[in-house]
Amino acid sequence: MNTTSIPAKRPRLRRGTIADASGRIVFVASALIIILAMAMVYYFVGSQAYQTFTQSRLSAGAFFLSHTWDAEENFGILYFIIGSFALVLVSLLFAVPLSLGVAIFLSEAAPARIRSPMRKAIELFLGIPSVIFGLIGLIVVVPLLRRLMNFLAGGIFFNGFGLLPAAIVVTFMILPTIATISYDAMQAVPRELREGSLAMGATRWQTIRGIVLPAATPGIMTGVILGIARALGETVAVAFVIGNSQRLPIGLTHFYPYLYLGPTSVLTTQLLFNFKEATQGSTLYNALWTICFVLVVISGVLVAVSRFFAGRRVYK
Amino acid sequence: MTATADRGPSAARQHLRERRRDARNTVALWVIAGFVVAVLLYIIGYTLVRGLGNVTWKFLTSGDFASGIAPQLFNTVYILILSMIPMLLIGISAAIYTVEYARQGALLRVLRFATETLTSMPSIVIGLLGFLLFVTNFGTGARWEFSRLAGALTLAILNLPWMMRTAEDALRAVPYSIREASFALGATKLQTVLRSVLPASLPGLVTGTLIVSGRVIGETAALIYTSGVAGASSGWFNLSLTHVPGDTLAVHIYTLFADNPTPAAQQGQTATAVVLIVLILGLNLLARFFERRLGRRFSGT
Repeated sequence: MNTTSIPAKRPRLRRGTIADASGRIVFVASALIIILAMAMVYYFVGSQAYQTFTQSRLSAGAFFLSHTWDAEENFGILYFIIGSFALVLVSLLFAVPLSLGVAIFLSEAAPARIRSPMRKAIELFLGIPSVIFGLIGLIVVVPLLRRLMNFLAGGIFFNGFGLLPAAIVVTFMILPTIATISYDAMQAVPRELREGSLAMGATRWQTIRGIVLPAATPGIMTGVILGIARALGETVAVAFVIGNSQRLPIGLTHFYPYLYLGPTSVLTTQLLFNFKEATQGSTLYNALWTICFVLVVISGVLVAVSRFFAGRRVYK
Repeated sequence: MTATADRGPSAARQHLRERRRDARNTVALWVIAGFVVAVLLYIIGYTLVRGLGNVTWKFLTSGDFASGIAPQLFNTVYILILSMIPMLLIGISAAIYTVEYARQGALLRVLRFATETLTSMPSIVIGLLGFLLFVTNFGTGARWEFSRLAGALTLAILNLPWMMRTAEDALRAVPYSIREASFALGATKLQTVLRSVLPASLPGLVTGTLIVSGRVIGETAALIYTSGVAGASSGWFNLSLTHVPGDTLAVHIYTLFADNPTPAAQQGQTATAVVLIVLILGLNLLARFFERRLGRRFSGT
């Protein structure tokens, strides 16, 4: 049916028009407020960050490429950037296999009566606040690692804090994000594809490897990117266990040849711990806003990358 | 006879190998899934076991540092309510715009980009923005100081995109036939939205609101520099919006960690964690309940 076939004399709904128009304005204005909120983040964080290089006369080199941070004269954030990226990398190393395992299990292998309660349990994970994860990290993971590492090293060298417990905590924080999004991506793969593969004599694992995973890859990547964003931005949970030390997290210890993911600082915890000492207009204050801006830029890039993968999704 | 047998012994062997690999990997999947669920249960169970003994009536109703959380309970609920008011109004309105009004275009694209950007932003960044906007008010004379209104508005900015997204889902779940019926009766667009679509989406909206409330209650990083970390002080039980700082349960757990962790502080920490977990689990269960209960009522089955 064609809309032009409706008679030209449509009844005009006069009474509603003013209310209708104002309603529309309210709805559009609300949408604009959300856009305004994003614009404010970029504008205010950006303009504050800019003062580091104008008002405080720090050079970009001294800020980004130096690793000395004493909060008085030197404000080099290189180690915090490295710390943040190392945290993301190590967490992904744990989280991606685990969450893909969970997603594949839920989507392809779980019996129907396990699938639904388990999915709900995973979603419950999403609701647990980061401060609880931090607390568990502090009273369970850190003592456990302290004992384990000292046992392996044969002496009391480690206090258990550092990048490793932070990565373990963050792993379980980003796991539900990656797992649920990957699960949805796998569920979106048409059943016919699986049936075709199985009918050719492929085993279930061959079907997963050869059909389901490749077809779901863009969706899985979206989940991983969101996980990266969350790992990078996580503050409080990491603050509990990171050890807050301004040095490289990765290295071999002096006395023991183990790869040591020890105490360090990341961008977010640096903000958290230092901001209370910063008076407005001081170099420290401006430098912290520049750290903020670095975080904003990285998360903007992550959004762009996730949009790229979202655009490549075939099955939705 | 299987197809592989025709292709000779090597094909059969390969088939057998694939079968074994399949079995092995299936076991691995079960192990991973079991491990993850075990960790989840452990996190909740361990917190409950460690802290439940210290959650006494006195702990819930008195206001001393580490020995009582009455001020924190009050602040949590107060900030939650304060932040939900603007969030519900703006979030649902914006969702109505995207679902009912918006046509594909620049505005919708920018809005999507804005919500995605805001949801992936570290919450500490939003917290510091809140500090700049509300606590110092750009360094003007009208400083609000660390205050519960500053915290609530910061949380509103932080969670607006989530609220909008769940409201969008709720509105989309309303069948198109309801809108058509309303239009057929001569209702205008606004009447249709307010009197037909919105009531029909109520179960989804309630569920979404409860889940977002859980996020609000659990937030810490965005509050430390907006509503402040001040412990119980005299006069916490007042409704002053500005100039009176107020730490929530989540912030309290962090504060107890940051100020030297004594055994007493750790007891208070785990006990507060229990209260927080119970609150959030309660909200989640309530959300599920509403989803099922109201969903059934409105779908008419």
